[in-house]
Amino acid sequence: MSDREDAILERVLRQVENGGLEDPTLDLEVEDRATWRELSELVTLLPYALDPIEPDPAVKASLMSRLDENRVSVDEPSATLPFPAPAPNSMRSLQFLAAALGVLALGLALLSGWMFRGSQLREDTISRLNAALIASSRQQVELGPTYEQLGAMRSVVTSSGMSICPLRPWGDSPAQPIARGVMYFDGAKQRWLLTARGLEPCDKGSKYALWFMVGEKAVRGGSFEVEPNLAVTLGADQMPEGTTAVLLTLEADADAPEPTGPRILFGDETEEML
Amino acid sequence: MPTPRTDEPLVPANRSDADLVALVEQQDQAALAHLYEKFSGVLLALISGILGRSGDAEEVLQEVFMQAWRQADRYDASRSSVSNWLSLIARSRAIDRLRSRNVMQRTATAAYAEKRDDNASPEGSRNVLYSERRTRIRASLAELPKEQAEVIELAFFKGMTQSEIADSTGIPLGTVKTRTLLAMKKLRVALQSELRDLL
Repeated sequence: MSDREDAILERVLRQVENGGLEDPTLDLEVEDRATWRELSELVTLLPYALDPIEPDPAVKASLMSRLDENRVSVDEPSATLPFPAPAPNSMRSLQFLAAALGVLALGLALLSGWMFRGSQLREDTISRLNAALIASSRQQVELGPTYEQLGAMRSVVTSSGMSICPLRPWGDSPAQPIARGVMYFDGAKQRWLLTARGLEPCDKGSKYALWFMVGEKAVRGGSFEVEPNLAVTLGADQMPEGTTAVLLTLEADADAPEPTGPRILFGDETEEML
Repeated sequence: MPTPRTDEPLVPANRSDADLVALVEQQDQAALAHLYEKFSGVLLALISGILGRSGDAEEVLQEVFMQAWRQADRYDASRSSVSNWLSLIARSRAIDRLRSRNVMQRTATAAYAEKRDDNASPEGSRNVLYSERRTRIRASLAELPKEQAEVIELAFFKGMTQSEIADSTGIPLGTVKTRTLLAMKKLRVALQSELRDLL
């Protein structure tokens, strides 16, 4: 790939980062446009490596019901009433009556159609509200543990005399360079709270273990698993006296009594917070 | 797997993706439903990679198809495949949603360990539809050096910009760009047959 193509690739990446709103092909030569197109397709092809996720059927139902509300009006042939041809005087009354009945029938048909359409819209609305209610209930149940965690986090973070200890990847060639963490703790009440992000998901059977270092001795503080793309929040009301550092390891044996697995995060510097 | 709606008008199976978008432009709901069935699985995976497995992801998925419904006339088959078009919309909407969350919401969402394995469909129809493509792309990614695969994953599966990757990994921005370019060169060669299908 030439420097020229490198430059095109950089433009493709910028376009993806900017949401693909501009048209970068406008100022490209024809052959460069082909390269741009190929590279553009490549960056959006890569997510096909991910396992597809089946959306909740309610999402599609809700989508389809929303389409009607967002329908762009299209021209429909206008309904025209037949203009009555001149009729002999003897037939005019009957023709007038027939025309009146026709207009009445058409009016009733339009009214019926309008009412039917209104009924459909109401049904769609009810269906949509039901789906929203189900989703809301589900979310309320699922968010319960989160509220509890946030309450615990607030009680520690708002405590007077609270300290923080940043946790950084261990060693010169860290096993997980992206991982970061912060330990909040209240030394007087021995309460602590750990938040961490960027940790790699655990292999089956393995767990991350938190250790409080009291001198040379490691005291186990808890263990947890990590799912992709999720931060971790962990806390408790017990913390060994004399803790000088905090260590996070990845243990193949979830019940290991002392740290034996790779060291992931470590922190031994604390700062007092006002 | 969702049960097909029997009241949806049928769209001939041999319609191309671009034909379906043209029908969507004519307000054909069945055509949009077909696009949804075909692409929603991979788009939801992409959105979830950026937002995490939260309820937001399905909302954003719906927004993506609503945008496609309203703006089908803007699709230009000479510029991109339908897959590319929808992926760019999905990525953009997901990143907008991510950036609109405030710090507290991020904390809440991050701690929101939603686990919905019942909806993941490793044996589902879409999985079968794209399983060969997935296998080939995964094999190509596996061939990359670890440090190159890392930046590709962060950029295209997590929705991070080059600068964000540099900030979060501590790798200099220039190195991130170099690794991305090297990886893309290799992937472009390795995935030629897949790309030909889209062009």
